[in-house]
Amino acid sequence: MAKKITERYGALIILAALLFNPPIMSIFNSPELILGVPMLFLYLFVAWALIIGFNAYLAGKLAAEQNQAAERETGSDADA
Amino acid sequence: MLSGWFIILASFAYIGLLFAIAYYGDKRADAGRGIINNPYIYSLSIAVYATTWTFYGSVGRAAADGLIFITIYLGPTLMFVAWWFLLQKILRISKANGITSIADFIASRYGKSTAIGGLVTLIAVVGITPYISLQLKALSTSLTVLLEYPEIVMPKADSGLPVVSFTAFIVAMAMAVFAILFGTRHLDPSEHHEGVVAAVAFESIVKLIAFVAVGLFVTFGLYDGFGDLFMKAAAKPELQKLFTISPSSNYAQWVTLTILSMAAILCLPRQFHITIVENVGTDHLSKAIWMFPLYLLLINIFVLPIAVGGLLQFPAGNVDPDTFVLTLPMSTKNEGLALLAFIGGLSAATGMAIISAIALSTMICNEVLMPALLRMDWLRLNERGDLTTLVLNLRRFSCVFVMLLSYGYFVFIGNSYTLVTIGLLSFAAAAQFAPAIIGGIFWKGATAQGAFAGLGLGFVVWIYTLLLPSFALSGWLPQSFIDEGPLGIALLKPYEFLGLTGMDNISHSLFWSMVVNIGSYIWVSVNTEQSAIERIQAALFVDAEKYSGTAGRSNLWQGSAAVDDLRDLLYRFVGPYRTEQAFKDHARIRGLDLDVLMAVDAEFVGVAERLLAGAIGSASARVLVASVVKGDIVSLDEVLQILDETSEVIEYSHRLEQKSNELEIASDNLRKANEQLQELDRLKDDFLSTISHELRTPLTSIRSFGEILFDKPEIDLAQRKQFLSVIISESERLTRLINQILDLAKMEAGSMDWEMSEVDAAEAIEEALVAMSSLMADKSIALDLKLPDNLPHVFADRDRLIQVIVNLLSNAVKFCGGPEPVVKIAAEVEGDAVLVRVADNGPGVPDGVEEMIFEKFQQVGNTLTSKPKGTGLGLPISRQIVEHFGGKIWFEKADEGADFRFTLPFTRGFQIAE
Repeated sequence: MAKKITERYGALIILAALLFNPPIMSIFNSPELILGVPMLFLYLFVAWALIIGFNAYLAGKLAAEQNQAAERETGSDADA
Repeated sequence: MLSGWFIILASFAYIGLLFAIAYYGDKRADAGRGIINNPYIYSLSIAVYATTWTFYGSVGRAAADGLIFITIYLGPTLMFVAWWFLLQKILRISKANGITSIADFIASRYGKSTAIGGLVTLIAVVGITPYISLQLKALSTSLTVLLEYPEIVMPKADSGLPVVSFTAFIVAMAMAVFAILFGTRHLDPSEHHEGVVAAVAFESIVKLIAFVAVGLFVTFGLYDGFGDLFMKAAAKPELQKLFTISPSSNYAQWVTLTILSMAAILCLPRQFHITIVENVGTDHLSKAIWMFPLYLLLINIFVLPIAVGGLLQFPAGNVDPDTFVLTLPMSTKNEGLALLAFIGGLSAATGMAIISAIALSTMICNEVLMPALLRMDWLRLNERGDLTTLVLNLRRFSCVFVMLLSYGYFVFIGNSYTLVTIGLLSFAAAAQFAPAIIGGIFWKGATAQGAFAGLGLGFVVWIYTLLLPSFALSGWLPQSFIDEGPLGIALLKPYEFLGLTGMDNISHSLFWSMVVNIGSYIWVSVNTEQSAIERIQAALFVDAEKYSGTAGRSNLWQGSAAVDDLRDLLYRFVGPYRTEQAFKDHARIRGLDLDVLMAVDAEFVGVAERLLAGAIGSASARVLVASVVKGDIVSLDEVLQILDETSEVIEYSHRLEQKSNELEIASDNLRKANEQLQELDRLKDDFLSTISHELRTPLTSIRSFGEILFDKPEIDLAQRKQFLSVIISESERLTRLINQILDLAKMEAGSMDWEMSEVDAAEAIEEALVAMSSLMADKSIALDLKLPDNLPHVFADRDRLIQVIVNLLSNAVKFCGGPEPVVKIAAEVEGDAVLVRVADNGPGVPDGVEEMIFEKFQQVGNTLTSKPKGTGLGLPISRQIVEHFGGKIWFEKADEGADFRFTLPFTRGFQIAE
């Protein structure tokens, strides 16, 4: 399972690199105001928050799994 | 209120508070109840990344170029997303090898080379000094501006008030004292400074609160929220352009800065120190990887609003945007907020300066001074007594040296440069470490010469394309050096090297230095051989995961050392307490008795070396240990063999464990299968004995009646007929029995031919009733039939379905009784199935046998005394059939008589079709 999360991390890195760089970023590179704030400003912070959220989610899952694995390990030690 | 003495007093009161926090943190740590052992403090301490550059400089950058400032914070976010691949590995390697600094890390990887450690230290000191002086500059600028209150006057170049310059000096020295007091209190092999970390985490909170407070004040105090602020700015074209990034020049810069800041968060000595060396729990990292980027996000939200607000408030352009954070509250006479902003900037500056000073002084002492002193044989350092004081004094000296150097840079050169430019200069220097680090942990073939060449040449290019031009801009070198190139050679112009134009200075320098750095790193690595120790270290770093279980077993020493020699050595550097502690721990693990031990083996020496390395760095430790060990360094092959053997043994035992687990599971399965087989065998025996009994009963009566008829021809016709009718009915029963047995056998074996199709359940019921009608009429049984119209079709084998209904009906007919026998049949829709019930008013089924009646040859009543009414196979067959259709059959408890029910699922997709 940890391997699967590693793969998801690979995908997240690619996503973050795409979101934070041109050309995706350039789509929002306009002086227009959306909800009262510049479009690029809004886009960057929303994308940023999104990436942080994903990272927190994956890290939480990973930690939970490692804890489980550690428990299993100690559990099997106790059996042996 | 904001008079000069009050501001100075507040500043020193704040610094005093820092001392108090650090003191408290150290006290708690000494008592074994450290306050920094949690991911929140850890994350906040990493936020030492946000310096005055963030606090003041970002606004300045945003006021000039718009949103591009944000790249400096997106880079670390990206790097922390990739933590699983990079940071985690670096952290594990560092913990396993007792790494004390980034120079130690790189030197360790390339064979504990003192040359590389020294080079990395040199790059770090030259590269980071401007960055520390940037903090001093920001501090003095903000102080100058604040001292002019209530006027808003920009400090003129070179005419800093003496009091300001003096204050900067005092602050620099206060930071040095702080670093000395809390960073060099004792020689700690784990290199943890809990008090410092606690103070830095506190500073991170202060600077965040201060910056956000100013941001809220500008956005919601001076203006009516984001919408109002940005609307007003959008009206001015020169401000509106800050909302976007000009694609022509800035996209390339955007990418450069993102990459640069990614490298910086990994390679800046202070970041490495706080993230890797000061880490007290590896699991803290998994929280920090999102909390630290979140901190960066929060502190950046108001950068653009403050920049835009400042430009709107000071349209004349006479106020430096770098000071907006301070001047905006001042312009509205908001004294408290102005002071808070100043304290915030002070926090940002001091936090950075302290950690940098500690990180750099550790490097200078461990990688340069100690190895140099140890090599000077005439000093006879090896034979001196307690050396901890010497090491600590070297570090203290280095702290002061670093701060003085920074102050010098600030005085002589700092005034001509804006904050951001100086910061990027340092980032570009730190980025030179990235190839050696990343290559070092993923590429086993990288050699020390390769790393030395890459680092050295990259550094030279950095000096030429960034540092020297910065001297020229400050007037130390002639301006023609930049404009015309040295000696008028245009191809050598530092900002347009080899005629490369169209890039900003930083991108230009980063490009050339990386080309040279990575290029020579790879080229030289490929063309040189690794020494034994390099290959071992490369294996330990690259395959950190594989060797994680072998730590303590892999070491370079052959032969042995006298315990007393080793003990003396360690006493001098890490003190008696820690030495004895480590010796006892190791002896306990290995089951050695320290009191009788005279000489220790290679493994013991390895433990000692790691302990020593934690205190004075791996390169120095190696030199020292070599002086007391008798015998040579083990040959490469031997060590690799040891490493491989231990890891193989671990691997092997893992595999063995796995195998035995598998075996256990397999034998478990076998045992279960065996039990099942035995059960089946028993069932078969039961079945055969029951079946032979069941078959014999009708056969016996047929045979006996046949014999009677054969033996006694004189029997009259009426009786003869009666006997013959018994023979016929018993034969029929026998046939039915055999048919049912065959059916059941086929169904159980799964070889039944099913003709599944859509079947109208109502029609099937009616047909079954027709087949049973004569029998029911004979017994004058009343029929109560409830069949609704439009009963949905079910998916079944029509003949088998009729068989089920007939089975149930014949049971009902058989058992219903009383003066008014009645059989009820009803069908209805229930859920996604048709529910059919067949009930009678007979004696019913006794309690407790509701399930048994569905088993083979189980009949209700005493089969010995009364003649069985059925074969005992009807219900089992019905159950098989109904379950094959996907439904279920059961006996429902009723007040009177028996009530059998079964369900038949609709044809799939029926509901949609209707």
